[in-house]
Amino acid sequence: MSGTPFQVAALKRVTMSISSGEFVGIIGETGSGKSTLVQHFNGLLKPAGGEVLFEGKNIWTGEMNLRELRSRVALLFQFPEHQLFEETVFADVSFGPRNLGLSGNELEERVRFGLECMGLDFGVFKDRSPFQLSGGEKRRVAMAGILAMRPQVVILDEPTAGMDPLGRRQFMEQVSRLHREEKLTVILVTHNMEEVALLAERLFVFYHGEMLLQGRPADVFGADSLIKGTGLEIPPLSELLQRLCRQGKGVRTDIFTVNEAAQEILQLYRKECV
Amino acid sequence: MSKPIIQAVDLCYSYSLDEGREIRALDNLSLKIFEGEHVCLIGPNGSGKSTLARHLNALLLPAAGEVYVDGLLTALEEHCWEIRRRVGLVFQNPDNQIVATTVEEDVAFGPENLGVDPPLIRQRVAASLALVGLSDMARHAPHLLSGGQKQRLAIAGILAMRPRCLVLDEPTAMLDPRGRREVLATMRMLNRQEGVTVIHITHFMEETLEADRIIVMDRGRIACSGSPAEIFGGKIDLEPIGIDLPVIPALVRALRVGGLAVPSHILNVDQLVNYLC
Repeated sequence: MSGTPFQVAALKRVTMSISSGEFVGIIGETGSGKSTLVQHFNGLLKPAGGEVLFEGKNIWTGEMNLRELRSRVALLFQFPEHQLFEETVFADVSFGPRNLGLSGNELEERVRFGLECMGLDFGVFKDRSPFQLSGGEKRRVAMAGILAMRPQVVILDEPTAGMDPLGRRQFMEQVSRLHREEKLTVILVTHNMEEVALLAERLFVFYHGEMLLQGRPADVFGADSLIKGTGLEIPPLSELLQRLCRQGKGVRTDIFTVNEAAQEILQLYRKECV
Repeated sequence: MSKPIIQAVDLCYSYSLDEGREIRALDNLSLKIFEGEHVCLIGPNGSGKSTLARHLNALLLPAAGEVYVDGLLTALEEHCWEIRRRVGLVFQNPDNQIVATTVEEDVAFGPENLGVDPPLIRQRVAASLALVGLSDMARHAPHLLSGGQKQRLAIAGILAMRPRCLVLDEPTAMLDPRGRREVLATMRMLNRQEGVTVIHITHFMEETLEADRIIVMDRGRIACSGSPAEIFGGKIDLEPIGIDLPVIPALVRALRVGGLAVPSHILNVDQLVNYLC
């Protein structure tokens, strides 16, 4: 809405870099600029000022082919199941690699790879209509379509919004496995603090179009973090451990799984008993 | 206990797929929800939660069995409008529920359709917006509101019809943490201060911890129901249904397994800090 009274600067002088093979999380309130930011990463939006570099090359000065960029940096939009359109799962997943010029066995290999990465059996799913799948399966098919292009980087914009707990867990387990085993670089935009604290190696916190904070989850969700003024919240385990610390209990506060937190607390009580 | 505002008796409903196949979404389900209760409905996708919600104000009618709202049978067409006035439904996506070009007109839509007198509509719009904390935004265009504000606007639109019962189907699924807090606080306030019966469907287990009762659904039936402490306190195995414990109850369970005798009714950070310190 540029030129109208509603014009707002969605992003203000953001400088950041993400390394190959990293798993980063981008968090912030609705309207803080997260989705606008990630749409710059694969050239869907062009910066009004500043530049975006991929492997050191400015994506807008002709050094890089945007088409190639988009196959290497793939973006999974919010509610990607709305973008399924083909008659069969195979046709849908093969759309991207077919546009890259692949065909025959090579194409089939890519589709198989994409589906199996998301835990969907090729034989079972390839001929089914995407519209008769469950919500969670639809979303995994949409993700398979992205993975079939064998990107180096995937950007996931609220990939699990609206899914049930089991669907969320299954989806994120597959993504996490791809990051570990295939060295996929993952950029996760989410409102789920627990999930991102557990999975991401580094977090970027956005607030009113600016990058307010970056660091390891333990620092971002730490006791003195600026995050409390941003409308976000810290995960319940972090809150618990920090409060125990303030009460003089010597527990680590950089823990994001229930089992580790339980071990930490149990250790404390064993020490006290001795 | 007070009288039931909602009662379902042997409720069945099926969706037909192609090739004559059917999916049974509700399978001989019976339940009572009492006036003034705050009930959370949980269960995996496909367990029948939303189908049940749509039966509670006659958007869907039972294939077999009956649903009564305040004693009115939903299957009788002449009851339909009265039932929809008494039970308001709020959906997941706020953008799909907003019909007007300003906030106050959007809230007035319901009572206008009920034929309420214009001066009374003004009063109700003002009162509803005040309840959800949007009075300052009365003349704003709805598309300029945040997600949480839009969802509170949808709730205000329902409140202007003065319902006795509010059914919310994953109202926070698309909201950020602040929006989610706003909507939850609004629901709690309406229940406790205004006495509105609240039926809240959610996939976020943390949101259920302050409900009076949790109803767990599985494959079109009620798997179990009870207070949050009863449901999450470890006596019921929720894993086969595909439900995760909320974080603090999960931690309490792990501590108990590890030999620390934490009471199983502890549900939140405050209670656990108090116990441990």
